[in-house]
Amino acid sequence: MTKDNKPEDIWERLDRIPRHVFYTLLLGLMIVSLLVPLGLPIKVGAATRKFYDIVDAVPNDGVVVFDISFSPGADPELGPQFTAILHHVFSKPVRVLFTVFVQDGQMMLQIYLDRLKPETYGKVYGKDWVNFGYRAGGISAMAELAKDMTFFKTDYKGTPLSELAVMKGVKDYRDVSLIITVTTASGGLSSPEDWVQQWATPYKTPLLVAMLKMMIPNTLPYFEAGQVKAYMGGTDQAAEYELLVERPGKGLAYTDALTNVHLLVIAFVILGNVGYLVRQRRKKP
Amino acid sequence: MSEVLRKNVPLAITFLIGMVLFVEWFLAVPQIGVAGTALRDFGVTVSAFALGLGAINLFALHGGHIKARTKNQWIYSLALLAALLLFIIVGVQQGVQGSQYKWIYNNIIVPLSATMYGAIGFYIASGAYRALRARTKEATVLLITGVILLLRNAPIGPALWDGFPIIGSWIMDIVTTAVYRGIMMGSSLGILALGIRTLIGMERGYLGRE
Amino acid sequence: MISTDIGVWIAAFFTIFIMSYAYKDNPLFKFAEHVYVGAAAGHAVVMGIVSASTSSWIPLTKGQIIHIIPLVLGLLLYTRYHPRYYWVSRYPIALLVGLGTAISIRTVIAANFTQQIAATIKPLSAVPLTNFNNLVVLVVTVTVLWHFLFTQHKLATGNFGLIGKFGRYAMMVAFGAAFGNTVMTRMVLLLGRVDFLLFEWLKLR
Repeated sequence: MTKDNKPEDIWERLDRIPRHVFYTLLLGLMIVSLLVPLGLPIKVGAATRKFYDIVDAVPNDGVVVFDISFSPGADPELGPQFTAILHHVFSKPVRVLFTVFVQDGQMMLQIYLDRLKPETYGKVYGKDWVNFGYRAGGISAMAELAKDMTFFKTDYKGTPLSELAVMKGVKDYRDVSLIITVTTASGGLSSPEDWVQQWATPYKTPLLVAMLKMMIPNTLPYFEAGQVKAYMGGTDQAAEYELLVERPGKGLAYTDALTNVHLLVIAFVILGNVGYLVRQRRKKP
Repeated sequence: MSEVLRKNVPLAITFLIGMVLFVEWFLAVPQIGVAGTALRDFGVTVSAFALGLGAINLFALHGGHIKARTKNQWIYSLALLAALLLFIIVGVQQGVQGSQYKWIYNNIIVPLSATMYGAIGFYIASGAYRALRARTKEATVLLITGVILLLRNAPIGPALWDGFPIIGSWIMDIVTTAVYRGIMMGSSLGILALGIRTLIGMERGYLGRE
Repeated sequence: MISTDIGVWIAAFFTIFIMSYAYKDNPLFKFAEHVYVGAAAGHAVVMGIVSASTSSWIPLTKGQIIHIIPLVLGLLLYTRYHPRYYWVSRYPIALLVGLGTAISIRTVIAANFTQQIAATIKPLSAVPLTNFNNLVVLVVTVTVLWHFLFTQHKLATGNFGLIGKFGRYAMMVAFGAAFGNTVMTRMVLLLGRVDFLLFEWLKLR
């Protein structure tokens, strides 16, 4: 009922739809979209193509520092990106050094290594790749690593780095071909900004950032200035990367559901504005 | 003497460490470089110890609730401390590579963490309905750009109209980049000012209670 | 065929308990929330032990005596709970604050100022669209910075105020774009949980 006890019509009710209606519609649409995918085509964008090309251009026996800085909370969005990039990197004859500066990163890395199984790519631990394990200290540790790649002294199991063939000839930032960070970390831990400040700007080491879609605006200034060479944000780009590396995964699987959900949110916005504008019009004498 | 040890010496330590790291960065003095490396090495270990502080606070707070049998709270506090102890005991016994630790991590922390962040999706949807309204000129600009970006991000956007990805990309690559650059430069000035004030002892909040 | 893995069932129940908050606060959500806080804190302790062990304890046991210093400093952090000697914890905190502050501010000038300024002022190009875009970046960056000149009253009002107002509108465009990106992130995170419930728990495919 309105203030003067007239019954509300549908236009005015549009202004005050209960939130549970949205939650139910959203959940229902997600379930239907996942169960009945439409298989809509997608195109590979320039940003994803650039990311792919830079990874592909790492020379044989090049050293890639691969930083894992995300928690299970970001797994649905970063997991597909990480899987596709890891598949690409392991498919190349390069050395991979995994760094972890956030608490959950160690477990997330382990989960994905258990899934991807480096040995199926012919990769041998200690010879082709190493896991430095979690180190507290955030940017302190990151800054020192640039000066001395053996700063951590041991890998995650306690094996001295001097005993691992993968570290042969790797002394400092000059021996690193590329940094890839898969991150949701905030400043001071292992955020894109930290890698830009501690590695990419002072030492000009090429830096690629894979992150949540909502982090892209904060990273764009660095990308435009050339401090970040390429970025990947969001499941849409993960889907494009999966196409490029020919390994379909969750990125492609979520594409249709994402389309439907976005259209639903737009419908909510339009409904809200229609109801609001009608109310405003009717208030005017 | 007591005041010196309690307040002045820690402030002096902060200042000295800052100076060592600045000299190390801007001048090539090998001995200072060695000192800087040692400091960073120490920092990694001390940061690791800091991770236990949260657990102690939780024990104190929730242990108090259990002891006092706080109504509508103590049973949840019991669950909290049980989970905390479970992870510590299994983790210390097996290490994080142990199969049981991985099991409890994958089946407790992963779903809880993922759903905590995922549930925000519900609120974004209702928030879009409630907040994204053309109340003022600025709000209208925000609303229109929001919808354009939603259509650009939706995989179907380009299929609906070629213009969505073009306009959306221009907004992101040009306008958003410039805005966030301005915001970043402004906030970096703040960080710089706060950092210098901290190093010279004008900001003392980190010392805690008097 | 529904999953028979008890771990998947535990994960599914926790997922549903947390999601139930969207409808109403309830004891199941509170239980799951408290378990999460406890588990996360426990995991942090374990990772702290792992990091301290690999960084200092193992080198100390192999003869590097200097590592006793950070181990002692780390233990001194816990004196903050002592009613009389709480001030001793200021020493390791001073180390951490000095380290973190200096490492971040010594690089911020190059990364966030000089390189960004260089990227904002670009030379003219043969392509008119590039020149237009570069001009927009320059104008928007300057007007956004102008908007935040709150302490300079003369620059924030009158005709000068229009410059800041333009920056404000530019910020609305950027925040609208940021909102669009945020929607995608949040929806994907929720989609991931729905995917888990449908395909790993209920095994509908």
